[in-house]
Amino acid sequence: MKKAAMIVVILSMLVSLAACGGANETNNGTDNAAGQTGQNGEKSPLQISMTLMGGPKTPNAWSESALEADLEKNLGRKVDIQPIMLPGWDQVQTKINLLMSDKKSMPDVVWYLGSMTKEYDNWAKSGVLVDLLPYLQKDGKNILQYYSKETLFYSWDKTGKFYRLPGDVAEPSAMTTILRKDWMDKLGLKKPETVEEYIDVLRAFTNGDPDGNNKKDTYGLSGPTEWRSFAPILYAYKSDPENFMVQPDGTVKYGAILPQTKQALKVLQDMYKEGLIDPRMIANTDGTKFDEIVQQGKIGSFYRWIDYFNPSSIVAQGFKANNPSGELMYIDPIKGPDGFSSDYPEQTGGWCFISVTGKAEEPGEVVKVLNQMASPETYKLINFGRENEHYKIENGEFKTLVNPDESAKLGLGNFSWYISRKDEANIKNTPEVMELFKKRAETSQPLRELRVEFKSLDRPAWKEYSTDINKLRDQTFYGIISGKLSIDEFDKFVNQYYKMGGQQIEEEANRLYKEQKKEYEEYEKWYAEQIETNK
Amino acid sequence: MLEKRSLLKDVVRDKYLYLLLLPGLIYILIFKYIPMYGLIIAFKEYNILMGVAKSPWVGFLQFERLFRTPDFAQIFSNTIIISTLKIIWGFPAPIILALLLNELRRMFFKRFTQTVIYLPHFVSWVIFAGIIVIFLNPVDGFVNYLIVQFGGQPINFLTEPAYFRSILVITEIYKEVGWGTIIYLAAISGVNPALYEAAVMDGANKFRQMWHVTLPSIRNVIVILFILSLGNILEAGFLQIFLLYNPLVMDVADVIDTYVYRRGIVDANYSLGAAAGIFKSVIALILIVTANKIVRKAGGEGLW
Amino acid sequence: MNKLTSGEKWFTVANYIFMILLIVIMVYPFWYITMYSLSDSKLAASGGLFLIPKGFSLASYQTVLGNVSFLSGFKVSVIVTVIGTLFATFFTATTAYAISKKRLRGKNFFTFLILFTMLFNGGMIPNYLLIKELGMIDSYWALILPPAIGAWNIFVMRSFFMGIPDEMEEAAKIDGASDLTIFFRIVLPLSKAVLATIGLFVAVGYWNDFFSTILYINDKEKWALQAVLRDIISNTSSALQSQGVSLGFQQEISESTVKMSSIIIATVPIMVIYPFVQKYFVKGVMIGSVKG
Repeated sequence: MKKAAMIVVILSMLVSLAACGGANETNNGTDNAAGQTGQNGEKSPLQISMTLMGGPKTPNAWSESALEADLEKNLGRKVDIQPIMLPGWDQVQTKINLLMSDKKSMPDVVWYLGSMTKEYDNWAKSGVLVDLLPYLQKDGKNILQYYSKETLFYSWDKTGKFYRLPGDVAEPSAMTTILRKDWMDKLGLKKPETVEEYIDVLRAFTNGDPDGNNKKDTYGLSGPTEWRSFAPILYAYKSDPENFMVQPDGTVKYGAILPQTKQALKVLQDMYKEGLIDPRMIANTDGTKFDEIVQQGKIGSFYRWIDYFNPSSIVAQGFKANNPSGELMYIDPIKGPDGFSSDYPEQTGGWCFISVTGKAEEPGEVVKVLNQMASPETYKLINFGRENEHYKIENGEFKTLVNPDESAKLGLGNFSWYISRKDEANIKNTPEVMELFKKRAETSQPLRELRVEFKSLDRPAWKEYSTDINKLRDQTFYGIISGKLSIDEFDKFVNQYYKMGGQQIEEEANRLYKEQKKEYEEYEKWYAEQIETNK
Repeated sequence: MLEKRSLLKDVVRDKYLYLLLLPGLIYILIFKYIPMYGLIIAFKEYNILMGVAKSPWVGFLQFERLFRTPDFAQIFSNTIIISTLKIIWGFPAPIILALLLNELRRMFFKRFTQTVIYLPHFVSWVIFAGIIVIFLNPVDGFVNYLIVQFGGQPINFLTEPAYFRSILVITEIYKEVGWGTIIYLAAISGVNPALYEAAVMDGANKFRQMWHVTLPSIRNVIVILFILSLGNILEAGFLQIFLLYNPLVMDVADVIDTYVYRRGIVDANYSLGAAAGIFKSVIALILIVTANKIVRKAGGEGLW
Repeated sequence: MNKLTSGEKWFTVANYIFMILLIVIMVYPFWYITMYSLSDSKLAASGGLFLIPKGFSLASYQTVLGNVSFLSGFKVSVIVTVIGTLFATFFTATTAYAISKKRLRGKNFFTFLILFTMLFNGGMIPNYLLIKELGMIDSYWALILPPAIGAWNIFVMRSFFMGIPDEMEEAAKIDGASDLTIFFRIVLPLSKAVLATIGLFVAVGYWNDFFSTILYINDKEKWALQAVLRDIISNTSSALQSQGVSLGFQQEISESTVKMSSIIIATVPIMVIYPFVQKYFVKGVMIGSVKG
């Protein structure tokens, strides 16, 4: 009995002891760290803690020591990188929020998603982020030269400060209309240019038994369940149902309520009725699932990544393995009734960002480090390794010399999205793909000019009403395409839109659009003075 | 029947019981009640950097925002309908299965069966939903293959509002029924074998034994689990629905959690999420307290 | 017991047939996952039913098992699961036993106090701040303590304790045993089935817990296995590669095959404890122990 009582007591004491013990340890830890940097001053190694999201997230990896050595060589100072590996995509936002919730636990450099606008706004306003401008002007040449003026606009603060830098800006357009070339050849079809020609091709793909198995088991158009999958039709009709679009009179309107969207939906409805559209496209198909569908080889056309044309693409390899005679080709965007055509423009401002926090004792030195990481040589080193040791370039094509597991152990890619270079330093792209990216940058320009990419983080009406509106939009539009709803439902949706807060959203959007135009003019002036002269 | 005795005397008498209670109580106070102040963010416009204390009060604004949404009636009733269906069909299923398992006399087969039926519990919803989509898809799904073989027309199950809730209930039971039997098997193993022997003497067959011996013996466990399951009355199963729903079945599938999630994408609002959480918990609490009262009135052993 | 009526015979036959059908149906998702994980990633990518592997490859297993963080994650998860399960099951039992006694003053108050935590919680950030204030960030305690004692487990265990006939305790009382003796010498031995059951639930909970790692652990060398596995999957995501991002790996594996082999790798160790749990589900445990 006594023994038992003892167990209870000891166990409960253990809990409280462990708690206290832990607390003491951490306190000592921080004291020591602070003491060191304080005493030794300039000469001590520069310690930088940074949150990392990319690559295999290997702790104490080769890439880390290689980067440290590279930095010491180039900056003349010992640098100690202390990576904090962020968890997977589902939880990354939570983790960043927690780390940033307290000044003591903040990293020196924080990497975060572009969608975390509210958080960024918060951090900037409450003064936990460092204004990078003076440091960038002094030591940020690589960064300032690499990013375009338009891109940096989205990181610029109206007060003339820079609280963040884009971590990665996608290519201006990363997607293209794709067709089965072998099916085109077999059925004797010619490259479609207009919507009518494109639909004819889809019809032939659906009904002409292109895979020659005497079964009607092929579909013309397929894609993941998302609006840009319908790009060949929607964009040809100048309709982007997910964004605000500039009208001929200079105002902006939500793309989903424009009359051309109704026209495009009608076309899609007819296509669906005729069986040209894969029914999986209207529900429950995500990107991964769709990649499987592509590799099954029963789909004639889809709107997907340019990367499919890189020989190293997983999808390309799988497609070839499952369809030895299959071949994919890309075409320019389809032209609509009034000759308009465009590819899907990626965001100009970047999809992830990095900021230096107030925790960093020497922000200037931190910027030097970031700037060095943005140089083509260091970028290649930490992302691909050393030439002829980890990779080689053969006839302009990138060939890796390490197997995937070794590559993961080396931690190649650990520092991804710390100013990713998409130019020649991204040696993974083949020359053909590089060329295609350039071409799509041009062919996506028409929609980029029409579409509004809001810079403002303060959009209360949008935040309040868009969830309900977009739900109704998706219900109505997918209902129309699948034939469950008549095309007249579109007009009801437009009416409903204005009743559900669309009025406020539209006013807000127009106000922001005007302000943004003015702001951009200011920015251009500021850029010429502050950045151009320091590039 | 207890006489009113002095509190001190009773506490001294039960000192060892309190000693046993103490560690659990301390744990609950520290790890559950100290963070409980976080609930007040439902009445604030929470700003993570300002912290809970300094964020501005907004009263019931977050609740109003939730209730004012045009589809609130729809998402609320969807939540209740889906979770109630899951309780109606999903609660008895593991009990019945446990009774059937209990009738297996070959030990190896019994244990093997048990192990196999636990397995789906370990398959995450993400993977499981993927498998469901593969099986039900209208182009080359297995179910539609069978339908076509028997001369029917393929059905796009997941986009049909008429089928969607049934799919939710069936797949949920499929995934969790085996795991749910564990607790009942443990309870059945505690039934006194003498009771069965007596029943056999009385000439009771298997069904009568089940009905008159096994079920009454595990009644307490069933009642407690049922009351506790009411705590989930507004948990329709976020991940499952989120992974399977689509615009064409929104009217029957959109629930409170999926709605709050979608709003969170546009506007990461911890306060709205907290308000929705409190709303759900208050309803669950009312239900549990009511159910407990009913059980006690009926002479059963409730939670308290 | 050996004289079965014809109705019972039919029932027995039907029951066995039903169970065999059930096995076939229930094993399928896991079968699918196993076959997928063993497939050549390129051929597997075309999807389908997977009755047998498409091609054959162990590359995804190599990737997961060979990941630098796999071993550390495995070690962390084993330590946390073993210590956590012993700790949580024991204190769940003590708490449940105390409130299973009707005579305990304040029983209803304590019960409600516990029930309340089942429905309401302060949310992620206050929990994080608490753990931080306790100095448990980056310590195993942050993985062991927060999920340890739950209201649901307490109530279930209590309902089992209440099923123990009072006479047994009364008899012990007359022999001069205290509540502690009764708890350790009579109640716990009689409750092996429920202890094993709750222990299993708790162990599976610890083993599958990745969220505590996300919240409380910064040092990757202290991540629990499930967090490591999720991260490996996340990093092989083909969607990312499509956006022109080099992930430093090639074509022997795909996000899907890695996902599938991760499930197998994560599930097999926890399945090892089933036989130990099932051992306690044998009928007559209670009587046997009392006699002993």
